[in-house]
Amino acid sequence: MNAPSAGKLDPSAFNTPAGQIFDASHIDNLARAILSLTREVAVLNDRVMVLETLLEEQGVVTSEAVDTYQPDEAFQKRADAAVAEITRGVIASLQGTDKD
Amino acid sequence: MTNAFQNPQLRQRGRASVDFLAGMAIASAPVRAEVDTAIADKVPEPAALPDDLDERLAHMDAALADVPGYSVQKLMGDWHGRMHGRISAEAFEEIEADLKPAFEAAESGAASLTLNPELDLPAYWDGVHFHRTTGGWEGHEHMGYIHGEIIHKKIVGRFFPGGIFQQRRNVAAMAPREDYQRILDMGCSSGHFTTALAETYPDAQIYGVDLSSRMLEHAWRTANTNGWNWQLSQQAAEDTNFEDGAFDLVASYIILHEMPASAIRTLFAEAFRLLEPGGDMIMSDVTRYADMDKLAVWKADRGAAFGGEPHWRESASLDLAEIAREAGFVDVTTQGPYPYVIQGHKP
Repeated sequence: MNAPSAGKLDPSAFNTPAGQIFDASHIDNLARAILSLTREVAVLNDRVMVLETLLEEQGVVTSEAVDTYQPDEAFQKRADAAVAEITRGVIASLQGTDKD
Repeated sequence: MTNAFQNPQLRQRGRASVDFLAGMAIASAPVRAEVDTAIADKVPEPAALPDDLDERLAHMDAALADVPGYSVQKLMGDWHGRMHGRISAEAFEEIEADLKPAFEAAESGAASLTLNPELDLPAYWDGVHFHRTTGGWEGHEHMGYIHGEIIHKKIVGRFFPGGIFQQRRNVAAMAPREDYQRILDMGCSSGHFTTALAETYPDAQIYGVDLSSRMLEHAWRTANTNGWNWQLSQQAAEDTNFEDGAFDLVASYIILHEMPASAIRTLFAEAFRLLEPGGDMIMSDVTRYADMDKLAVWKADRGAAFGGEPHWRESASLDLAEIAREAGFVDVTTQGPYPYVIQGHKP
């Protein structure tokens, strides 16, 4: 990022200095980071679904029970649908097809 | 929690992560649709595409440069390539302690494993991260398990058309005889095709060779777990220490595209040497470029270029039937398109 020049003596230019953060060679890394974050969202969403399921079934839940939960067919179907929904939204934004 | 050796139960983070990888591949259908529509518009005459594959790749990149879906497709492929090995290794490490009893049990049994730390690894293999697997096949102490039980069974098996294990059983059953005595799996990796051979020919003595010690270790544990007496050794399939005529069936599954043409020719010659007179050869590999149109070749070739497949282009361009005949095989037949299966007979 290019800092504003002190020689121009416009101190307000330091409030919101202009400058490019990512050059073209780093844009790909930004896009990869979006997919990495999407993975984390999917993992956390799945964890919430497991928690909700176990709370309904058992009332009290340990982290071990969440970690070792094995989906039945119905849960897996809901989890796959959730992953598809999360992924579809991110892909649509990257693709530019989420326009009004 | 204890865990089964094969097809283990993953913990929540690993399970949800591999589900995400598989789900991302499935959810990419709209992206493929946009790219296919753009190709139909921008490449009205595929037959006019450049013959040279590098020129064809550059031509298609230029033609699709303003298609957002093409960039997204490249991004998703790149991320999957970079991350699938890391995510699967993480998922394994979450259950490693749970698997300890199963691993200990799998290290005794009827199978044998001979590793060769002094093996002169060929340049076409050494240091190559095939499939963009982080660190290559030797990149993790338990890469065989990670690849064989997590990547193949929890990810690839979910989105790869046709069922990757059924495909192996189908090919194993294509060999002409009902029974064999001694079968060699040339490039057995973690043992998925070896398993298909053992299940199809339960009375045969199964041998397997591969360059990767980590993959062979998983094949060995798999055999022990199932009570199979496989004899596994770390050797190049194209240069083994078995005696002439040691086998009545030599086989391989989708390994040839991981080798350059020179090694493939040597492998067929080695297969011929290892067969007894009257023995059978059955090999399989990816679809031949000669059997595809120019767009399909571009898709396969691009996938190979960015999917950790350095030898795919050279291998898929070969006429394997001709190579088999040059090695001495007769009654050579082929069947495709995928897997492309080639069979032959030693007179």
